[in-house]
Amino acid sequence: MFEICLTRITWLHRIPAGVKLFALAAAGAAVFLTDDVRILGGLVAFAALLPLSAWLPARPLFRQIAPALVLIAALAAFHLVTGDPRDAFLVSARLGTVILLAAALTFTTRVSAMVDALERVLTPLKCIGVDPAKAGFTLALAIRFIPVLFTMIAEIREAQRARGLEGSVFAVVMPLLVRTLRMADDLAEAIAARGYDGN
Amino acid sequence: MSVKDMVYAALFAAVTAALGLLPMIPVLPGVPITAQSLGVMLAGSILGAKRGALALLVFTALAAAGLPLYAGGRGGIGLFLGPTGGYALGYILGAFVTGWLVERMWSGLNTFKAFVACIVGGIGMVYLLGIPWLAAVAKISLAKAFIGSMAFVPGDLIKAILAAFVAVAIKKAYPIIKKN
Repeated sequence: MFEICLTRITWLHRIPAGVKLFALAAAGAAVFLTDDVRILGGLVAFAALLPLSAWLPARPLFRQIAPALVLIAALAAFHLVTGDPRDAFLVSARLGTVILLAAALTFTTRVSAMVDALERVLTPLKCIGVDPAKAGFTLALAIRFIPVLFTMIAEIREAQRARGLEGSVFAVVMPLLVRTLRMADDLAEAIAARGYDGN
Repeated sequence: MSVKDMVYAALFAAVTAALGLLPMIPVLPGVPITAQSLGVMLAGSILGAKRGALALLVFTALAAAGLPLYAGGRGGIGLFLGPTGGYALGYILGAFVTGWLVERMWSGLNTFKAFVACIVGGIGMVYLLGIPWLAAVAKISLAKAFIGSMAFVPGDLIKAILAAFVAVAIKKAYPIIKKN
């Protein structure tokens, strides 16, 4: 299955997903609660060293965070031009910390581990009608069908190219949706036929 | 949540991911336009409010969990914590509102009505959450955040037109909203 997580194991892989998520949430809250330049400087330095400590591959990492870095640079430049270097630092340190820590998490945590962690996080919400098992099942179903839909869209594009319709998004989207809806109905019937009623 | 709700949500999350593979015409140089945010309008206008919002919730959760589903093969929880996090949440609300409006207009649905629903839900709601979030996180004024976001509106309008035609055609070919 394609995912961003590295197959090579680093020390960050060994930390449970729940712990990493909690740490990220805590750091995310901290950077927006403090205005202290020294604390923010320390946090952004830590966030920058973390990917280095795990030897995360530079190019894929950069590809993930480049658009965010461009935006951060533009925002910092905007604050500098309007004569507010302190705001320029606050904004870029805050966003930089969050983006780098989140990337470190994403590169070292399997999607399956994240889904399991999400199921556990949702457990207390049972009392308001959220069923974590159903949520997990729906996510697993979507993960299974993403490659199926990728293949389907490639097939349809090839067929429409043969008909000379390669420029038409409509000619690709319509058959894609009709086939998906038909597949959804078949799938729901197949699931029901195996005795799963969602409970 | 019935089995049908779960299956439709999962498959439309997968459709939204697959739409990211379709390149669209760039309206402004340097602003990449993919068909992906079309998923918001299509999920809402084809599945209705509840299932449409669920589909985008599933898509968002999987991208946050680390699947490279966003344009350019990006993903991970950072997308939702950074300056553009509001747009990601706006997708879920946008699908819900598009679906809610289409459900209200279902019996007399035409391309224009579907277009209005896609604009209000798929564009209006997305920016309603996206712009204040960007302004707050980036410490810029709402007006500046608004102007900066307008670069994407021409592309969004093209998607709304396309989604409206598709929604009406699907209503004839394979209606979902009133079937169940």
